[in-house]
Amino acid sequence: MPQMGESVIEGTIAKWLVKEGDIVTEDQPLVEISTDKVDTEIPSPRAGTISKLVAVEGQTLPVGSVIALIDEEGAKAQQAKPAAPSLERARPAPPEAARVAAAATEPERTPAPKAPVSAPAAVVGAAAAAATVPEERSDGEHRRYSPVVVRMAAEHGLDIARIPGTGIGGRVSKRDVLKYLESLRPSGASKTPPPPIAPSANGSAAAPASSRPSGEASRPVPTLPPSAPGAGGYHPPVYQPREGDVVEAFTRRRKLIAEHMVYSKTHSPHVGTLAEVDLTKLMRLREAHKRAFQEHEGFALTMLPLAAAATVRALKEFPRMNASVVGDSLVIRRQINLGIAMDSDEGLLVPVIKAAEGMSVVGLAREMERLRRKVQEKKISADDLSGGSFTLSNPGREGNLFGFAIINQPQVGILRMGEVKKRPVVIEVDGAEALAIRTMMYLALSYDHRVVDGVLGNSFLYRTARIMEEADFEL
Amino acid sequence: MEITYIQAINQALHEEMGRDENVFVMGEDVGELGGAFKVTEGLLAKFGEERVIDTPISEELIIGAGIGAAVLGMHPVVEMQFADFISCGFDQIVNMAATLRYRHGGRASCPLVIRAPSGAGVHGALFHSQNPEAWFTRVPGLKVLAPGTVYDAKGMLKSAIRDGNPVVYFEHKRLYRSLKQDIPEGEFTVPLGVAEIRQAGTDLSIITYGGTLGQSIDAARIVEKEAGISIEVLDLRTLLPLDREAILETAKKTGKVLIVHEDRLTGGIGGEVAAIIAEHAFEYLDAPVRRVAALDTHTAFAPSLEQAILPNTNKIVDAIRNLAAY
Repeated sequence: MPQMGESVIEGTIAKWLVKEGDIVTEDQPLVEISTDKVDTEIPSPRAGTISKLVAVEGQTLPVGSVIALIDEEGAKAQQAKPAAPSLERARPAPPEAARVAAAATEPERTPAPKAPVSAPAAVVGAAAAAATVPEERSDGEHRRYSPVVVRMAAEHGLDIARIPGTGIGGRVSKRDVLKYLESLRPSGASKTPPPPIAPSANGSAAAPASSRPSGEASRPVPTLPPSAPGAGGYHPPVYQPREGDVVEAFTRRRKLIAEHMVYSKTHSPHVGTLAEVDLTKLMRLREAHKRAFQEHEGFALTMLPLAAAATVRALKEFPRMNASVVGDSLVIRRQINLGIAMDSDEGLLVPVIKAAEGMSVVGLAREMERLRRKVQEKKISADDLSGGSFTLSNPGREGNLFGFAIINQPQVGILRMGEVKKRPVVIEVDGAEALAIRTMMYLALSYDHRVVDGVLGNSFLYRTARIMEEADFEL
Repeated sequence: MEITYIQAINQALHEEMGRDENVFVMGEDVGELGGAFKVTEGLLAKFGEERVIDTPISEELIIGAGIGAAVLGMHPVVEMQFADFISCGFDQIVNMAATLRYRHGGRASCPLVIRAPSGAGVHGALFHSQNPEAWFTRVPGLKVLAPGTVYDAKGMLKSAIRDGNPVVYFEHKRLYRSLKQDIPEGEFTVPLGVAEIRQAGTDLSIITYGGTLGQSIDAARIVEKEAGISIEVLDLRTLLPLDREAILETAKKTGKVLIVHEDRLTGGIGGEVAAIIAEHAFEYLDAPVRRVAALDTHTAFAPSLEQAILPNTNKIVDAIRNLAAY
């Protein structure tokens, strides 16, 4: 399993592009690997014959695991095979070994007092084999989970692959899940539980502080306890199949997005704030440079780099918005790594413009274009997708009036642009009020009230909107 | 009052015969000899030969006569000298006694108790070591009991005599004089069909009964000490009807279940218990349900072979360790 990016620890075999016995050339695509960040085709490191596909499709393995064996001299492999059959068998080819172990644990096949002994022996045997062939990790064998572990993971929206296992051969047990859940609980929350403010009937929890807009009062927003999902009595109704229904199993990417979104919503209390932005000047600026830009850069100048430049400028003025929540601490990032939400065939991706604080509008536009092409050509790398410190989302022409995005954890805020539309607006011209046709947009900010209070959230959004309105950018 | 398992059975018979003159005992050598194991000692002298009847060596006859007496309103307690020979009366039990109430549309009953000294570990070899309880646990109309404590040996026999249905009562020979317990002086009974938690725990459940109950508790304590885990021990006591609620409750509580019985593995009641758990507690399981039972062979006479074939505390300890680590 190759290293697909700095922060990537494992990958899933999405699809084998070769089969056992195939002759491959160096750099020929071997396999499609999907990670939590990206899907990539992996080229063959050597030329030779595929002597064994160790990993199966759908299997998740840590970086450095053996996924296939390539025999550089195909002919020798043919001779060697019958010579060393026991070695072949001893190798912990995950699915086979798992099956062997499963058969050994089946008590009906072995006399009872032996059964409990033989089961771990089989696993230990496989582990010992792995130890003698260190590059062949046996982790893949333990990707079967007990029913209670699967159920608890589903209830709490956990990716079991991330839970450290302490059972035989690294198996994830019920106790491991409980420990993991405990570790997810922010320790501060258990020490000082949020004041129990029950939402009133009209849904406004902060109603008593009526001098401030709802949700921004100095009182803490009522937070859900972290164990809330699944802990309660609610279960969705049992699915009743109907003719014509299409069942789409979650892809790994979908599962990770889901897990991330649930985590974000349950761990960080989102506050939504909305600004109305007059983009007339910004659109004029864009119009003025559109042609020259296209000729010079070879791609169109859109609204997005201008909005990104405004966001970066506002983040510089409000560095606490360019931050991460790490355990019980807020980490204020010096470098502004601006994530830009992009749609792809496989779902949402958020490539990151690194060190955006030093970029001009043109620089931001170039970087955005580079990332956009990589997404389009499915060449985006895990490193392109990691390290963001703040996110800007532009759903585009059909993005509707406005909407509040879910915060990309562990960041503390996300801006979401609404549709750009001409509206009649009252403006002031030389001291006199007048009705004018202006290009307007709603800009929505979701911020994490654990670490960002209303004053900061409001000021940041207000400032971002004004920077966009002023449209004072070099092009 | 500390008494042995065998004394508890003897007391139960004395008390029930004293309480109800329709209760009588019948079997091979139960009168003059006081029973091959002395379970019925003292009964002949106290209640006379009309109520303590020595019979010919025919289990079919003994059970058949018991059924006849039961139908006419008596409460016979018949003894199989060894449970191994209960198969000689098999037809009378499964075809006659078990169906009687059904054949008469509920208007007749068969309040018969069949006492069957069962179990191995006493160098009894093939004909004096059997645990034939599972042959009867799938016969509607019967109740099948297997007490594993002195208290239950007494309380469950008394309940069986008063139950009004044919009851097969398996008493474990190895426990007769090895098991002692302080039990209350006065009158008590133990409800049938209700399992009992012998020790509560959270990490692993052992479901057992009869001869392996004590071994399981010993094994649990050993592993609890060395591994710092908490083990629940559920004593089934009644094998028909099974206490499904108690089985599911403990399985759901710990997610890891070890079933232990001295009966053979294949076709033992443990298979049914495992199936109940698989069907109704699947989503609570954290490990495969495992079983420790006698090997699928006949109990050998040679002590080393007998040890190898039967479950014991060490084998249960090993099984607990492996399941706990799973």
